[in-house]
Amino acid sequence: MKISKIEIKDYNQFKNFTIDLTYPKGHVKEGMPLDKVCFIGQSGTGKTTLLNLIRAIVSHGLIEKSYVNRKMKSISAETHFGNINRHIRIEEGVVSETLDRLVNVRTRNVNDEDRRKFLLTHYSDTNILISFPAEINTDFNSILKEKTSDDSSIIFQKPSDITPKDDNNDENKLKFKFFDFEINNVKEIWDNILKDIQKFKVSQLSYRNEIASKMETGMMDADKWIEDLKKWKDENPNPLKDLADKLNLILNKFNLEIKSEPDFKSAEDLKFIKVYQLDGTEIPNSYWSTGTKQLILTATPLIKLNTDKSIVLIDEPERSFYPDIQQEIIEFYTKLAPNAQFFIATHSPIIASSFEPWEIVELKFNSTGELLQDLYYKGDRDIKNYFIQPQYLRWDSILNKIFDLEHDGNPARKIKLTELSEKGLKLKKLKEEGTAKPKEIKRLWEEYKGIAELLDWKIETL
Amino acid sequence: MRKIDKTQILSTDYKAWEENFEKNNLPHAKYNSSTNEFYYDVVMNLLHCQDGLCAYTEVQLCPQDVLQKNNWKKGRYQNQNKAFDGQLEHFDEKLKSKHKDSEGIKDWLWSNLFVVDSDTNNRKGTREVDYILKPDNKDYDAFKLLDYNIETHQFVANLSLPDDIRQRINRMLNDVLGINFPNLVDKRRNLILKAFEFGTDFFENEFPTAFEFYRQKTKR
Repeated sequence: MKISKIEIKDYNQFKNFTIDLTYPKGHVKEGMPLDKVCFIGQSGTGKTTLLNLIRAIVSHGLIEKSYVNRKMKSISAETHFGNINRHIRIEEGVVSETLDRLVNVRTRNVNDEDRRKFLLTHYSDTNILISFPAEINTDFNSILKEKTSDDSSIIFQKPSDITPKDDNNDENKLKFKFFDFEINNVKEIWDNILKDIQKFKVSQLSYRNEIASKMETGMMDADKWIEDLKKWKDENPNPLKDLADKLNLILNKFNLEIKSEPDFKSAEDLKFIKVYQLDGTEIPNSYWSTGTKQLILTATPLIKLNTDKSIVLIDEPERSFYPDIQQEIIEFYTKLAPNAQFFIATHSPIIASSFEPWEIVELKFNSTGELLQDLYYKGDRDIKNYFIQPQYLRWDSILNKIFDLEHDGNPARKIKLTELSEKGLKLKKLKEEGTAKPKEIKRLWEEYKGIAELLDWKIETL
Repeated sequence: MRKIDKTQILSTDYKAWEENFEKNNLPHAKYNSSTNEFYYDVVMNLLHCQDGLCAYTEVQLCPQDVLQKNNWKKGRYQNQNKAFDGQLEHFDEKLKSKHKDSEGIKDWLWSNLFVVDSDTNNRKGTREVDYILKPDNKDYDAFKLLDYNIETHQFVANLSLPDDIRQRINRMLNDVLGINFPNLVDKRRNLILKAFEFGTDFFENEFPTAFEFYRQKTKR
């Protein structure tokens, strides 16, 4: 599913607000829903409100009732499943929808049961929503707490015990298509995400025990063991390898890695993902940096879950990441889930620079307090008419042009720049008058040069 | 920021309406964005007086043809094309009824209104103004109050003025009117340098004050 338009007649600060979420005229994907969208704006302009609204739209009123509330008045969204368009409406907290099948040009209203079946059919092997709140790292403590209290049960489980139970109830089936790290049961959600890795680890541990026992009793020799191990590995592909290959692309920059083979040196191996320094030293979970937690908690679900047709929401992805990581994190995430539609809310100019101008929804209050989308084009919504292109701008220009920062540095820079301008004018005047002593001009020049150096100002002419 | 002559009144219906408030000491109609019937009469008349440029930053806000006198008939602006890249701005926000420390309900006072670039207006917000830099002041003269550094492309207070006056002017330039806003400085520098390389006729009529300073200082 992808969303191409949201119209809000009345919800919190949004009044008669429409967002076009399609590629503009002249783009190779003209008219198609955007692959990724970035919400920016001052605190209080409604970025997180928009993310919540998308959760409400995507939930279709069938999952997690708290997503929808009575304050949501006259909200409509255009959504697309291949050649099927669904018009979702929320009226005072009640969700309804009509469905167009483009092939048959058929429009009809659909009831809850039909909608549930539709979603289960279209998401039979994939997931509807993956949503990361800004405070995702708080999940980490919950996971560790849960896992610690469950240590013994995990270690003694048989592989078959950790496969989620089949649930024939459609409502519950649909629930497992939603991965919301803000409201869902964290342990349940992570068990689901890591179930194949956990199963693999437990299988490998059982296999090792079995082999050790056979070797001990002389039932197996080394040659036979190597042959048997090869066969076992062919039959049990290692899901840790893919996870390690992908996560290590960023983790290596923190001088860290995930190993693709469990070492079973400690019970930690069966708890959660294990992280090592590049020199092989293990970093216990409780010593992970906030950036490491942030990366693993957000990237792992995108790697492990099927994200085909999914909507992915990420609130403030810049949290805990150094600028160099912020620079590449959006491309990293979108490559992990190439067929998902991403909605990201950020305060970071570096994150914003990963987006094309038509992918940015900048929210702004005008002088009369009305909330508007600041448009980056004049005239028709055509790629030719865009006058801001974040990918071409310097960081300071993004801050000035997009984030409307008044200064190009600390406000103290502005005062120093005035001082530089005044000194320059004085120097020029003295030179032109020709009456000043060379010593006086030299002194002024030295002062000027000193200020220019502090400002990193390139002296061109005088 | 050059001097603006606001004596040429083309939107006479609006002006009569405004003068009625003033003469009879009546509170003005409340300013409510563009919904007032005289909004475009005020905006287009101001832009006519401002040559289509932002009153403070001198960036272009609309084409010249929509400002020709023949766009006014019977005291009203008649052209259907009312597009302009800016906002109607109240120089002294305290003269607006909705200001928390309002000093008068003079929302439509002609002398307090200018059309300015939207970003400039949004940044200025409700900051306190100093009338020393009001572009329609009778004795306002950019070349007496200001100076221009042709390297930094910053406007500063004229160095010959007393320190306290210079401080007041520099505060207005930097903190209120947004004349030295970094993106604007870049735009001004690029345009001036290119114009003097390729010929000034080739370029729009933006930044006339900076151009004039540049001409005088480089003797070009």
